[in-house]
Order: sequence, then structure tokens, then C-alpha cells
Amino acid sequence: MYMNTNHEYHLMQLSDSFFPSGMFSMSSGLELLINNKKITNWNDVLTFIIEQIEFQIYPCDCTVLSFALTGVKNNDLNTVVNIDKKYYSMKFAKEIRNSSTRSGKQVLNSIIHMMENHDNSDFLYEFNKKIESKETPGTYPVILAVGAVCLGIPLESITRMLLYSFSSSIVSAAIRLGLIQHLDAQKILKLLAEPINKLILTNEEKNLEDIWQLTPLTEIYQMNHERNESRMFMT
Amino acid sequence: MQSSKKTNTAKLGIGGPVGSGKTRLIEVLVPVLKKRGIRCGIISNDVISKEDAERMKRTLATESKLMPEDLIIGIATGGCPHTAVREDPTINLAVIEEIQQKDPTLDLIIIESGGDNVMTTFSPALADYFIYIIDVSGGDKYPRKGGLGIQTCDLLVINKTDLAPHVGANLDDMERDAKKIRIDKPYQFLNCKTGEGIEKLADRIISDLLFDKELLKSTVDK
Ligand SMILES: Nc1nc2c(ncn2[C@@H]2O[C@H](COP(=O)(O)OP(=O)(O)OP(=O)(O)O)[C@@H](O)[C@H]2O)c(=O)[nH]1
Ligand SMILES: [Mg+2]
Repeated sequence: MYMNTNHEYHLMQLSDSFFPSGMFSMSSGLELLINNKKITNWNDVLTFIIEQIEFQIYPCDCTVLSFALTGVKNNDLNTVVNIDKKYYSMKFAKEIRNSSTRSGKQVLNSIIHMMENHDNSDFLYEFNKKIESKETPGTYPVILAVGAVCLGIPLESITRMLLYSFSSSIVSAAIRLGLIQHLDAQKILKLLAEPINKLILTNEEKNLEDIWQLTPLTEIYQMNHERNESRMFMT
Repeated sequence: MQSSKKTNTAKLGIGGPVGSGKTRLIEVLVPVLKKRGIRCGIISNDVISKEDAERMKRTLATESKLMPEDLIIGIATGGCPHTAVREDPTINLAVIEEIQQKDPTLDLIIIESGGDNVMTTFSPALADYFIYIIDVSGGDKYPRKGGLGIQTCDLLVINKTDLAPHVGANLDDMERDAKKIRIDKPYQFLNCKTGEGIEKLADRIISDLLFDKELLKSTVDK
């Protein structure tokens, strides 16, 4: 596929909060956890992010990202569709599923717009057709894999980016919810660098069956958040 | 007005400060458009709840049966109302696609932005026509102060004219300033309480956004 030596630049572009992904309206359950006083200070926010990453985002989202990336590289549409469906079926909270496909489809639109008239962008269009005909949901980590391959971004970098974007969306939600201030937000992001790095470097062999996640309490909060009348965030 | 498949439904953006009457405007506009055969979907961006969407579901769907309830969708904007309609309209665009899939024959999708400051504008990717609505109770200085929303919108609406005497707002001053700041773009007064001005507003939308001369009721004088 299309080789691109500018992959670091494109990585920044994708990870910028300015990149249209709809991430600014998601708190992943944090809003209700803060409202219910389950999270009360910056350290709680840090712990929440680490736990979400360890028990959900890394074993589930990042593994999906990795398998999808291989699938896209091999031009294997069926495998990518299967991974996409599997991911969708694993997200129990409706708003989380919706947010993932809403932002997935729009990120794909951005990438299609960016890659217009590029060689080897066939996969983009093929996958887009599958989403439009509802044969596949088009979830965010899978679309990210498609984008990474188009823009020449290696797996390790795009995985780090996914974890960073998740963390950054949570701390920015914590600021807007009035729990932490901007300096603490940066401290949290700094403290996350090493645990994230360790996870990425574990580099264990994985099977599709190995995709898992276990954050029941957060998921209950995410589902309750859906029913909350007064709220600032979508999730 | 119905056609078999319309994937490019016209999109109307409504922005304005908190409480200026964005939701109320939609509530009085939809019945007028409906009478002229125009069928709408509604997206309501809200800063802290889905209250406006719930209200419209009641007033426009369950009570008056003007439209199906599932064509009114609320979006929580994470405290960033302008981001949701300008820099990152992702979620709004996704919801538009969902509405179009539910009913590809709709004529118009109305998008209410969360209440915001005077610099709010809509992404051209999101809205084909942009109404900015202010009200007289914010003070008659408002049109004069300008701001991107007031200056660049396709139609400036000055709402709640019934309140002018109570808040000491001089409508003549507002009209003079609006004329000046809008140069040759349209503006108009509205009273959502009595409906005064709403037929004219509907005419503008029909002629300038839907381009359908047959449905015009009164002549629009710019
Ligand atoms: N007197 C009077 N009241 C009005 C008029 N238009 C709207 N209102 C009232 O003003 C209040 C705010 O109206 P909304 O339509 O909720 O305002 P909004 O701009 O949607 O507000 P947010 O979405 O919360 O920013 C409501 O109580 C309306 O009934 C009007 O023309 N005259
Ligand atoms: Mg409103």
C-alpha cells in the first residue's frame, strides 16, 4: 500500500483534538462517576484512566486496532468486517456503541476526503460501501486502522495514539466538568506515558479470541448515564 | 414537495445566545412549514441536557402529531456548543445521515445549536442556510455590537418584540443598527408569542433555501 514518510506528521494530525472525531462530547462514563462522587480528585481521574486502559481499551480496542490493521494491509475485507462486528458486539452501553460508529463513519469521511485521488485507496471505498449498506458497523478503532494504513502510520504509533486520545478526552472532560484544572490535566497525561508504553511493549502474540474487556462498574455507569435527563456529555 | 429519494436534504442551522428563542422558533416554524407541505427533521444540540429535544418531542410530535417523534434527536455537546456545529460537526453530520436513512423523503433538517456567544457560526458542511436569532431583552445594543454570527448569518432574527416596552428596548434603533451592520443581508423582527413575522420567515426559508417559488405565501421583500 501507499508508503508515506510523513507518518509522524499524520499521526499528529489524527491525534489533534482539532481532528473532527466528535471525541469532545464523550466522557466515557466520567460525568456520572463525578456526579456520584465516585471520582473526586485528579488522582482518581488518573486511576480511572489507567483502569479503563488496562481492562478495556488496551485488551479490546487496541487488539481490534491491531487485527484490523493487519487485515487492511492484506486487503482482506472479510476479516476487517468480522473484527468490526466483533468490536461492536462487545460494547454493552448503547451510547458507547453509537458514539463509536458515529465518529468512525465521520473519521472515515475525513480520510476519504484527504486521500482523494490517491493510489491504493480502494480499500477505503470498499469499506465505506460496506458501512453504507449496513453490512458492517464501522467502529472507531477499525476506521483508525484503515486510516493508519492509508497514511503509513505503524501499528505501535497508532496504538499509542489511540491510548493518548482516549486519555486526553477524559482529562479534558474532567476539566470541563470542573473537577481538575489545566495543570493537573497535563500532569495526568505525563504520568500515563510510562504505563501506556509498558503495555504497548509487552508485544504478546494475540488471537482474535483473546479480545476481552472487564470494566463492569464503569459500564453500569455508562448505561445509567444514557438515561440521565440532565447531562453535558453524550457518553 | 416530496421526491422519491433525496439524500441531500436541505439543512437549516439556527444559532444564537442562550434563551433567545431558538427552540421556540422551531416550534412555531414547523407547523407553518407543514401547512405548506414541507416535512422536517430536527436536531437539537443542548449544552447540559436533552431538555429542548424532549420538549419538541412533546409539542411537535406527541401532542400535535406534526411529525414522528424519532425525527427529533437531541445531542449533548460536552459543553462545547460552537465546536459541535463548527470545528467538529462530526456528531451532527452522523445524526443527519441517520435521519436521512430513516426518512429519505424529508424536505428539511433543522439543526438548533446550543446557546452560545455572538461568534457562533455553522460549518458550511452542516448547514446550507444559517439563521442567527437574538432577542430584544439582551438590550437594543445587540445588533450594533456585531459578531460573526450576527454579521454573517443568512438571516438575522430579532425575537421577542413583545418584550421591548418592558425592557426599554428601542426597536427603531435596533432596526437602524441591523440595517447598517447587515449591509444588504436580510434581518427581521419576530414575536414567537403571537407568531407575528413567522409567515415571512417561512417564506424566506422557502425562497432562499428550498428554492420553491410555488409555496411562497407572501412576497419577500429583502
Ligand atoms: N415573550 C416572549 N417570550 C419568548 C419569545 N420567544 C421565546 N420566548 C420564551 O423565551 C424562553 C427561552 O426560549 P427558548 O426557545 O427555550 O430559547 P433557546 O434559545 O432555545 O434557549 P437555549 O436552547 O436554552 O439556549 C422561553 O421561556 C420561551 O417561551 C417571544 O417572542 N416572546
Ligand atoms: Mg433551545
